[in-house]
Amino acid sequence: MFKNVYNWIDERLDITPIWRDVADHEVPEHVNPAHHFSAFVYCFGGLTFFITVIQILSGMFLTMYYVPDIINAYASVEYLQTQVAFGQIVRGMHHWGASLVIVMMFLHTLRVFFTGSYKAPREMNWVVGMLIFFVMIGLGLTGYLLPWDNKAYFATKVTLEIANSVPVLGPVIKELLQGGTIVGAETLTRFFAIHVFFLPAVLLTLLVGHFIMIRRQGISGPL
Amino acid sequence: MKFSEINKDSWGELCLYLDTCLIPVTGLNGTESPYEVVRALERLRDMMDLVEIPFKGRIVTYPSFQYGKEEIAQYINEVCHNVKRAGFAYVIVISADVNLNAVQLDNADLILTPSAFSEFPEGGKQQFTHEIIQELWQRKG
Amino acid sequence: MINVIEMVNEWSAKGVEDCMSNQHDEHESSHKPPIRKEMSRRQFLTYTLGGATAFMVGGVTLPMVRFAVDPILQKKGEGAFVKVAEISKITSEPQEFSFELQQQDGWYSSTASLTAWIRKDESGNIYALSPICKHLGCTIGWNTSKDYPDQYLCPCHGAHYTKDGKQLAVASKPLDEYKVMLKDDWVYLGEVVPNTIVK
Repeated sequence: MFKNVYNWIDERLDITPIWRDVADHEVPEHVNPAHHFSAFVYCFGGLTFFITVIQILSGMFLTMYYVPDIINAYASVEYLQTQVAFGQIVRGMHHWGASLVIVMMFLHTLRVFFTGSYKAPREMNWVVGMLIFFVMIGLGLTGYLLPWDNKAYFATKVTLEIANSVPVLGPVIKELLQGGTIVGAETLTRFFAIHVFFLPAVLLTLLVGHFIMIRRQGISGPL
Repeated sequence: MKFSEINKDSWGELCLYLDTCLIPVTGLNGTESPYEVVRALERLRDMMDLVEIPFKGRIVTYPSFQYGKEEIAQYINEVCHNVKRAGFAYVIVISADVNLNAVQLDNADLILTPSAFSEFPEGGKQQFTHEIIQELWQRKG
Repeated sequence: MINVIEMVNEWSAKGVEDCMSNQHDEHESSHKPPIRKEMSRRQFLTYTLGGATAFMVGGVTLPMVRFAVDPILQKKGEGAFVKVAEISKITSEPQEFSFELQQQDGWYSSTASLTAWIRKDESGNIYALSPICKHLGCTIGWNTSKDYPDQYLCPCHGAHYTKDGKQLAVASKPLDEYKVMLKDDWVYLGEVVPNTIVK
């Protein structure tokens, strides 16, 4: 049945070449753990992407219950965590995934660094990777405030103090991030918007660039 | 209803119907500890509920006298007078802790204190308040 | 995915053939050299990979889907209905009943102390009226004045209503009514809705 559906679509749109181009390519021996087990270090990039997908999915589902408002934010998080079926698991995925994605990304960066994969002609991909790193940090930072508990509140205060210490522009950056003069209602909605709309959009764009470049240039050769 | 529920625009229309003013007297003197103040305010609130809820559409609750007991009677009386001059037909003074019956409040049309219905059970209080206020309105109405 | 389906189809088709051949051609088949029906390495790997992928995808998405559909699977129960009075106690004369309504809306919960005037009409239908006057919100009473016998009367500005809650003076709308549910000899009341009895 699936085959028929696929064929029906393929006859009309000729999609086989597209997906062959995306998915059907040889994995070089030196990055295949079946040949050299130590090649598992080449999996970290893929794992980072896998966790990112989980983050996007679980985040989408969390917004079904979450409200970015100073009165209701904590109550809604508590409700979805304790009253809704699998709430603890879905929020758990997002919570632990957030840490894990940083870890995986860091390991991926180390692999790229120690295999010298950032060298010509792949410098641009290294730069894009670094941008992704900063976007991820931004996602972690903005997401941390959303439960609106004490930990979230004071962590954000500290972060904003750090932003404040930037020479000359510090106070302006701080107020821009805060959306006002205190960490409050406007900070929460602002962080929410950044967390669920702005940064994910930037992240996806950068990821597309990251993947196009790696397909164009191929995985760097063996050491 | 409470004075705070009425805004400038709605008053023009509502003042035709809201002809009775409720002035609460808490009766604090400053020596109470915070939790005692809370209790005093709760006692007064429970008293006020007997009047405010059933007659929401005809009685306006004004801000209360928080400090002072019988000794401020003259002052309360003066406020009652002013309230009437401002257009209210009836003034009710209510207190849970101050025995206002013992003092002269010529300008108040009705004085509600616990002593007035000490002999009634819980449900009877409501009935009594109901009747006494109806009677007040009929007396002059 | 496509390959997997293809193979499953091939596989099951073969199975059916085998059964058929066993039944009808017992003698013939016993002479033939045995055909190896083991799956190929490629098939095995495809199944394993597909199974592992399905397990991981399922493990990730199933909790999320269950999370999302939770509202429709929550026990409805009596919802916002509160047990108020025994049906046998309801007469054609309105009676006053007090009750507490607890509402749970997600993470909002609220409790309200309410009263209702409940009566049975001539055909035996039970309905409950809210005692809040539609004029300015005072609390009405039943049969409180000789001037308005068998009517609801508001003590403040003389608004009065019929048994059905129809307004006769001052007020502009009929008295609100409670949603009524009858179960096991008890009257349950729900939320307040605009009057539906008065035409």
